Amino acid sequence: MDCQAILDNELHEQYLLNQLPANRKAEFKAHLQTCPACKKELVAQQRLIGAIRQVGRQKMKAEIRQQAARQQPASPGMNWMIMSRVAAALVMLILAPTLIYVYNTTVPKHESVSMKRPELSEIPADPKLDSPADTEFEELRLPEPPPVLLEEEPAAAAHPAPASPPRQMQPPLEPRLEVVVPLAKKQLAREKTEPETEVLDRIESEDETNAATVQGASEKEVLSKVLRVSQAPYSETKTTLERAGARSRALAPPPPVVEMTLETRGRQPGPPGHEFVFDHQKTLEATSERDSPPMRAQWQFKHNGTVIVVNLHHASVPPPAKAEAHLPSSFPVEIVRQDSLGWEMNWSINAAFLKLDPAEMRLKLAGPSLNVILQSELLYTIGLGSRLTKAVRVR
Amino acid sequence: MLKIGLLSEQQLLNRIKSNDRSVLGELFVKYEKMVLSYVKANGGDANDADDLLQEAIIVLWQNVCSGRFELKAKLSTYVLGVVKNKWMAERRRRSKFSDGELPEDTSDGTPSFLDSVIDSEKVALVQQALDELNPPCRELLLLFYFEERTLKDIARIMGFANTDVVKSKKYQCKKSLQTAVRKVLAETERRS
Repeated sequence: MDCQAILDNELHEQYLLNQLPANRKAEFKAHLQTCPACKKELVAQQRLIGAIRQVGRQKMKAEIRQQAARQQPASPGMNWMIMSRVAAALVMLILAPTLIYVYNTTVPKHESVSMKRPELSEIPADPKLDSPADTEFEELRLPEPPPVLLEEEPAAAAHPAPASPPRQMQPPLEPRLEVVVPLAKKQLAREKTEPETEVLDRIESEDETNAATVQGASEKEVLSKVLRVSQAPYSETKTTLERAGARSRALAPPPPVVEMTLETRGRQPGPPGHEFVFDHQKTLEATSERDSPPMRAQWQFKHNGTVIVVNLHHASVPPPAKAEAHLPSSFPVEIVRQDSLGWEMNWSINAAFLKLDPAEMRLKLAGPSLNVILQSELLYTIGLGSRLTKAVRVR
Repeated sequence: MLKIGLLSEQQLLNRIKSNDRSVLGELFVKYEKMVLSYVKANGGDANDADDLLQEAIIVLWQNVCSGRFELKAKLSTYVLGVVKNKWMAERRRRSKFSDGELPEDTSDGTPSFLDSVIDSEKVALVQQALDELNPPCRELLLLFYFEERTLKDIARIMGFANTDVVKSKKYQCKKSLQTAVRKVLAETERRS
């Protein structure tokens, strides 16, 4: 038995781990008596293996504690989960009726309309919107904007929408204010050849009636009409929106306006100045051919439960004059819905707009306008004075 | 608790053999009260009970892994037996310390105070060297030298083709550890 063979066969280790057969063990012990180098190696190996075992012991103890902590019940003799649920139920039983009572007695019902649209006369004129040089959306320009007209309930009742079945289980809407811009007679005459002739005729007569009513009414009377409209039940509101949708179809640019369904998206609007952060991109349809429809996306911006839904539609916007200006200087925006429950808008944009990352965008309410902010820089301003408006590029 | 109660003790042993580490915690939770009541009744406290139970679980784990364990009685009987032996040894050791003199005699195998200091330094040094090894090497060395698993078991657990590969890897890892220990030792001496 020589030292090299002992090292090669790891006999030191086998001896220490008691793995050597009896005859080999005796032979190895005899060699150790005559070989100080092997004896020294044996001591070194013994220390190393002993240390490994100590480390293993410490690591396993820590592992036992860790595993036990995972499986240990929270507290012996008491189930805290059940106790917490019972406590929560008790708190709800005591607090809930109190809170409901306090809310009903102290909070006025119409206070939630903090985003109430100002009267048109209060809105400062936007020179960019009325600029004669801006002919980009000439077909959307209304002949002469008359005063704001309010839709009156009797008119709506007189012409119930045939396609809207009554929805009795729906609760009434929160107070809402809707501004409707009447149709131009010339445009209506142009559109009479289209299939929606009957609907447009009805709208035209209503608008004339409304205009006459409002023009002859005092400010107090107008306010009372606002309140009556704002408290309209769901089915009547839906009728109003459908008629408004028909009107928008008559005035919209070539890409058709998508039917918007009325649904509750939030409870209270954020106060002016609050930013709506992009929540998620609900749909995105884009063809490989950039300039041909369909190209559509829906963005949702949220703040405190209030949602602004933006439907982006491809529009026949002329290509940008400058290479760096990949976005249009202005584009049409149709406010489909604006009340205390949420906003919905249709934006007609060009293909370049879809390249913007909505996660980097913010919508901010600033008085009578809505600012579109891209990476903390103001990109567009949308005047909220009318249903059909424009987003004007700021930079 | 319910899960562990439903498992037979043989299943527990099989899980230890297959390196199911969650058994460590289950065993602790299962025998915690039993060991605590024994230790408290014999002059110890909760910390003693925790430490003794951990030691007993390690002994059980090592014996099962090395094939030395045979299930002849209830597992709780085995665990309590280990706890009793260890607690007796610990009490003997404490009574020697409480006499006011540090034990110098190592004839009974108990390390002297000086030896234990040196050992703790050596263990820390090896631990540092082990931590510098790559994880598979570290695991292999612990499985072989600490858990005393067979080469066949290690090949199965670590996914090696056969025991020859394990043997070869173990040799390489041990050499790496020795090199790492020398390196750590040299750094320690240089600093001091």
